[in-house]
Amino acid sequence: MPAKGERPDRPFTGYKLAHAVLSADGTRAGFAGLTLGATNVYGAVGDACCVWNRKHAPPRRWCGCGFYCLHDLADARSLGCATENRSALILEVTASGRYIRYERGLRYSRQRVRAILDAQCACGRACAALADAGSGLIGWRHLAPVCEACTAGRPALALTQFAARLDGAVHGAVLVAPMLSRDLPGPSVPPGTGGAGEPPFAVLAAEIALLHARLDDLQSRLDK
Amino acid sequence: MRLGKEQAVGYVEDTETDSLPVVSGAAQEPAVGEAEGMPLTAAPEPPLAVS
Repeated sequence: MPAKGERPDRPFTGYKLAHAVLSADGTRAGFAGLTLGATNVYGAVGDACCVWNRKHAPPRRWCGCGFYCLHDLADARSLGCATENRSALILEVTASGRYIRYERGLRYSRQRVRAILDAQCACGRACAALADAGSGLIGWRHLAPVCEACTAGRPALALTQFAARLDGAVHGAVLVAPMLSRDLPGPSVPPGTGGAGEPPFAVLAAEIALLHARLDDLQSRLDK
Repeated sequence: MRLGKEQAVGYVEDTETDSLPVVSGAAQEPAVGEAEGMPLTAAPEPPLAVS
């Protein structure tokens, strides 16, 4: 049976995936979620809001709203292997506010992005910069990680420049970690498999994620 | 994102305060094709002279 009313002394550290976004005028940067939050842009510090019903405060049990993160970095990296997540950044976050704790992670109301831990070019090399992914939201372009070779003269934004464009009050708190050298052995992944996801897939994935959240919740209730 | 079974609900205060800029030295890659202000767009074309 779930414990009620936990009051930990300090916020949680978690890991999540997000797409990097840049404002239309290039002056502001942010992050967009992968599924449920794919159309919501948040900064280095954010408070969750429900995209379906603004009257309740996230995270609500029978809704899929709120920020999501995983307890283990390995789980986040595993999620990043999925085709639709290849162009996402792996973030380290601090989770606070109201929360629901699950086996593998949290759903919560307040978030601070602490670090960009990992980002890979579609070719498999470590990211050197962020370039236009060719997709976006109204007012925001999705950015995809690119290595130096694949940048090939395209305009791109260094990670430090991206971090500097996050919301002013806290942008310095974001630590851009050294990119891990994770070059793949053997033939490289063909370029062009990046991109921040087609909108219809994002909507479908959001619906599936909501169903999963509700099934998990139903399972928890049945277990009681 | 599947998080598994619910284990607890709770509240935790955001105890952090905004800190001074911290950027690791290893991430100081040179910008590629950077253009101040609008880094992902080409420099504006000069206006055409009309005589």
